[in-house]
Amino acid sequence: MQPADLEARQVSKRFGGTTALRSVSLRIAPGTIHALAGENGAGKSTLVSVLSGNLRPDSGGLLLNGQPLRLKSAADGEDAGISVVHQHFALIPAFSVAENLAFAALRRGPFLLNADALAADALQFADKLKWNVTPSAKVADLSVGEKQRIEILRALATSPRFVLFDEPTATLTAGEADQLFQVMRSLASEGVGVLFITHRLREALSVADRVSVLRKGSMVLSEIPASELDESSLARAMVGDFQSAARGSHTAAGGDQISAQNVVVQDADRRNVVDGANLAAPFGAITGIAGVDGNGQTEFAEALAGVRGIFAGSITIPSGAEVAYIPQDRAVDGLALDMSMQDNLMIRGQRKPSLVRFGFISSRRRREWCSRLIEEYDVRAESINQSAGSLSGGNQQKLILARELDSNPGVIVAADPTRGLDVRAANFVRQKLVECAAEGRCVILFSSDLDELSEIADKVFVMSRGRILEGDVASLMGGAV
Amino acid sequence: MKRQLIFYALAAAIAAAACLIFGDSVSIAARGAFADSFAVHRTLVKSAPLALTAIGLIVAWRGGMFNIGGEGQLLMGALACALIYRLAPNLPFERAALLAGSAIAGGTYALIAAILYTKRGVNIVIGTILLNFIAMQIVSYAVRGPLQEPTHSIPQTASLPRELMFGRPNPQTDLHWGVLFAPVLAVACSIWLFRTAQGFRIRLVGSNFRAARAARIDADKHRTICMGVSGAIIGLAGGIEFLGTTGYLYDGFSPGWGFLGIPVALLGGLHPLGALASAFGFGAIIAGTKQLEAAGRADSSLVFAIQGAALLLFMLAQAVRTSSLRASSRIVEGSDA
Repeated sequence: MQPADLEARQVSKRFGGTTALRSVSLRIAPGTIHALAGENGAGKSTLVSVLSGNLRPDSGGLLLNGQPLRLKSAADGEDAGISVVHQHFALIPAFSVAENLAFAALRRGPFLLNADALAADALQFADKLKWNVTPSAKVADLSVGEKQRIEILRALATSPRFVLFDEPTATLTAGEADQLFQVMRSLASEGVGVLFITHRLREALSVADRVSVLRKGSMVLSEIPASELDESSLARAMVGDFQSAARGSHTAAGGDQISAQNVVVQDADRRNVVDGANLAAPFGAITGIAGVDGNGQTEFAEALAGVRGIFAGSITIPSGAEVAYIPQDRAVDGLALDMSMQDNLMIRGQRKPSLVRFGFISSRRRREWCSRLIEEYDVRAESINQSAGSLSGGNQQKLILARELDSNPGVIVAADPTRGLDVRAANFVRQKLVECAAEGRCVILFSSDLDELSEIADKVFVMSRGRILEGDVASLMGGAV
Repeated sequence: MKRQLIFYALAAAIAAAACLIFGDSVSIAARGAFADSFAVHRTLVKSAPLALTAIGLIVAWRGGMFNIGGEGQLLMGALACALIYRLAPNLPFERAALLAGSAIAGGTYALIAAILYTKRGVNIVIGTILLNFIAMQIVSYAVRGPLQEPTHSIPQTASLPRELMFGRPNPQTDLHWGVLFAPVLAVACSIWLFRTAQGFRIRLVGSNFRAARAARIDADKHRTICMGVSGAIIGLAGGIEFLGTTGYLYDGFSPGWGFLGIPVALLGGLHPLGALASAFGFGAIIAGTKQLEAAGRADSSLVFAIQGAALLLFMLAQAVRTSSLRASSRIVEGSDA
């Protein structure tokens, strides 16, 4: 019997005036890992939505084992054995981990709900992955990385024949990603077809059997065996004009620094999420903080930025230094998505005396200021009155950078500022941070991307269990995982 | 855009069909709302409290505080007028004192819900709704007990003397100068919400309080401010109604202005100036229905049916709009990958 392939054949999809997919074909064979690479806006997520039944294509269609497959909804997709690990988490924050996992099995389950029993299948995968998951924890209380793990477990719970991973490694550390790749390989060895969406080229090449590349809605490389490709040819296929951020030469000016001493931050349950952290971050340099998500980075970053109060210890910032904050989750903490770009810039602008007189905002000055920032930071949009939610991830992050960096802050606290961005947008962000350090400012960069830290940070610490550790990063990270 | 046009066309078609079928009733209602200065005055008198409560609600809603306690805040405003007049009937600026008292009472009453929310996490919708019932009971008690008129024969407070009431441009109609508060406050609140830094912060807290927090803006402070102002405006609506139309307080003082203001605010697009327009529309419907009632064609509860239908269609249109927005934002999510 011929093994059942899942195939998209000449799929096209338009949204309004934009063509997201232009006659794209893709085949996922059982027992193989197929990587799909592409820049932001290339149409990768759209293709995943079509493959999973979330979107119906305008033309073309799906074939399962050569037979036309009509999916009316994601539930149909699941019934056909197609599961998605979403890039934007599709979890219910108010539910516990077990309830979220049970949700996936619910339609098949018995009438009476026993969340723990329904979640059992998914939790087995957690054991298999050696992931430490607390079934009773509320999803809203988990960090981004932990949520992603639940998302992955949920997709595996239905024992699918095809699993589509939509940028699953964006927030994972190198060790966690390796574990995930092992999961992918073991799924493939059990005969599951895996589609792995990524824009990390190294990952695509290291884990996949075959690689396809989407660019601007068209397939530019189709099912090339990974062994026939290298990083630079893949990068060229993806972006055309690949440019790497140049590392600036930093000169530490003066002896000024930000220092944190024995900082303790407690969460709502009075647990010490930051537990005696010490840090000295000099001006004129990028201080990197690596670590596995959920080790207190978010809380420590918020404490440094003055967003969150500290329970004990002290944070010393030279007087007069303004602190800019680039939060980890730009859609939740960074932007008000349903407000206009102009309003989102005004989150900072409302403090500027040049824009606000006696409490009144000058419309003209505001418009001029916003237009200047949008041009300077190359935010691509049709109008400054467009909602921030209508921008792509890269442009959203540029909007935040523009707002936070414009007032020449002395200190910049950035948490995973390049998460989910394409190569070009990520380089833009890194370049800006390097420039800031070169201008003598103090940049504190929290990142789960070790490559990024080694590329631009002057000194890298590791955050583990609420403390800042110094030493060999790789071995410390190993210990932290 | 095309879809919206379809909706407008549909609305016009429904209205035209209704006019054909119920032609004479519609014309009676229209005459009741617009035919002469009596009708227009009636419409304006009914519009004012609707507009003021809606503006008050919008101020709170823009800050993410879903104040459903308009009825209670309005009653407390009116109660404050009755109380101040009872305790100090001869203040130098009595009318201003009564109005200020109504605003303070409404604002304070709304702050109870705000503080319960910010300090104890009591859901704002539940808190404000329950405070409505408490206010109704307090009024009911006051007009039968401590504030009852001197003869103790009817459950209402003593009537204000005519000279304390708002002046009337035409002594034959109910229209009073107090209605002017509505446009003035609509403009003031529009400027406050959309042109000042504080208004911006309130809207930011309402839109995404976490983004406000990350920008080191005190969300609870702004929630408290917008609830206080919201309650003050609605309390003032009660005071204006007290000084403009009745002059005394009784059980049925408010025919549900605080609740009727909710759809007015929604149909006004959550903008104070929009609320002014939609309040005028609903004022006309109320005035027109009164005329229909007089002609024996309908009961005054028709107002609620019309309001409900309008709101339903409005929400349908909104749902269509957001679903098309969502479809277009998929492009963006698609372009994020």
